[in-house]
Amino acid sequence: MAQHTLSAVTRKTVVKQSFGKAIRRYWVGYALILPALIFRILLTGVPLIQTIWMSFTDKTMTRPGSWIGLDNYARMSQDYLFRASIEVTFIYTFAATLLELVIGLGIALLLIQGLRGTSLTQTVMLMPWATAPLVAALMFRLLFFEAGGVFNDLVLRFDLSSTRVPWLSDPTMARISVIVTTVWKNVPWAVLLLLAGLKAIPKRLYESAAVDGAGPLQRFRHITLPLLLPILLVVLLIRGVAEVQTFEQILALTQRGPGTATGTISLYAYERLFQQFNFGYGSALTVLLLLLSVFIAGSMTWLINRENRRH
Amino acid sequence: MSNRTRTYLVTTAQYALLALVLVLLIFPVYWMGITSFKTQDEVYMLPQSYWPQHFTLEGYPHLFRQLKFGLTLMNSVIVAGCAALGSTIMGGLAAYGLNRFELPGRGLLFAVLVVSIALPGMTTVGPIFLAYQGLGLYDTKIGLILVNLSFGLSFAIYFLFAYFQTIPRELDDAAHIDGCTWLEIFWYVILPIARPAVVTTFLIGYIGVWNEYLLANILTASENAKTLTVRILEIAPAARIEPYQLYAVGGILSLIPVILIVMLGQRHIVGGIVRGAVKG
Repeated sequence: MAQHTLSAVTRKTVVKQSFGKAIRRYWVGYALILPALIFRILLTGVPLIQTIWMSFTDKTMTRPGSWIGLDNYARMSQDYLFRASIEVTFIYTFAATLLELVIGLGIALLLIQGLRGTSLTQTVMLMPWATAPLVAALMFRLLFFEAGGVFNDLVLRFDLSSTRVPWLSDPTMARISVIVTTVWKNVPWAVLLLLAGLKAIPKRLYESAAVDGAGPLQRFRHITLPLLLPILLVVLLIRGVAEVQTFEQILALTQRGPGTATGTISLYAYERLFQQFNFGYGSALTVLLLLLSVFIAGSMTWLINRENRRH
Repeated sequence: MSNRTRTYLVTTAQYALLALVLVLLIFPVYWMGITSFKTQDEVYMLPQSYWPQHFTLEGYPHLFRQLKFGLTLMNSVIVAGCAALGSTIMGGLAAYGLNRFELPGRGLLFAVLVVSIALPGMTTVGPIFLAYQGLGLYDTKIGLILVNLSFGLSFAIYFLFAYFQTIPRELDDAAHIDGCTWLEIFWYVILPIARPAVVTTFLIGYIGVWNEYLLANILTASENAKTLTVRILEIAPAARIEPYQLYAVGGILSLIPVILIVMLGQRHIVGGIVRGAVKG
């Protein structure tokens, strides 16, 4: 079959017109898209509109909900738990995304050196990537937990502290622990992406720069960074949108504790929606989360487009 | 310091860093593995041992016999398999339609179908939860399959669209001259060429659903529908002392299939990760 069709390629120009007519049979094209579109409309479009609508009501599990305008949104400014969760979300998103980018770039630069064991490392990289976020969180709970985890074992073994370190029960430590977990899980993805970007930079650029007497740092600053910038921005875009929505790592690692030290906006919305069944206020929180995601995605896309236009 | 000693030092440092990276990547997985063979007493000990002192397998049968994890594994396989298959097929058809037919409004359609990937699941799951209660889809595998299928479509369409873009249209034209219908062109010309991309879409989709927690947690209530990620967190709901070695067993059960998939399809998957994020 395939051979048969390939032999006919030469006759292409003759029949282009008749095929053009056939392709204008739009209904076939639309019919192909329709099933996917119906799924997206029913399971994303409609629920999205319903969520926005519910965010203007006081709906609960037992109360059908009546229109209360912007009350849910106005209430947020008075809500201590909400403000705490916004603060955590910002710190967490900023720190995790930035660390993933910097460490990811560092490892990618190491892997491009052509050392032995590079391809093995690349294979191993897929392991954290393929681990469920929830399982990654449990993995790190085994490392962090205070009565028998590895981190406290190391602390005691090397006499770094006379007491056990409260990795998960001290507010600052808990935030660091949660970020470490996320970074472990997501750095490999960034490495694979950045490595592909590094490989795409022509070698002759480095060679001619070296001939002109540019040192490694100069070459990094004037060749690697500018040419890698679009991919660095893609990493920031995708990781930023993902981190701002972080939910299950926190649930499995610290349950937002101690106090509210690690409670993200996603987790707070989850508690309001599915533990208290407060659909009005919970929906308003998820709409805010949506706006945050759209803001990150939008601003990064704008930067990426500007960057692409310049080249 | 001569040039040669300097090169030597740099290379040594690079290998040391590479070794460190490998250890950091592997150690958490290794630790979960050995913890799953420890007794609870040993888990709560300091200093810790880096190899089980009282090697035990009791955690595994405990999960399967007392907690019915066999059923749970089945649920996860069914939900992930069906959802990934569905989104690959429907996404493939939609990507073909968007790529090969000059449809009015196809830019908008593409945007609607693909951009929604950035929507937080938390924003849409509330109404789905409420609707499922009325439709009888709450706490069913089929309900979970449908919603995961829908979420997987964005990636499938985006990824396969980019791949179809690289297949020359002359092939379609030639097949058309030979009297092929659109379905035959898709089946005999496009699909054989795109097979690696289709496999990649399925594998990445499968891993995504297998690892999914939020939807599975909210839309199920009984052991007949709950998936592995949900049940791992519920291993010891009321335990005074948390049985970390059992969490480790659950985590290992979740990891084994994805590690197998990743090892078997690693070249496809690396390509999929890279091209899935950057336009292919």
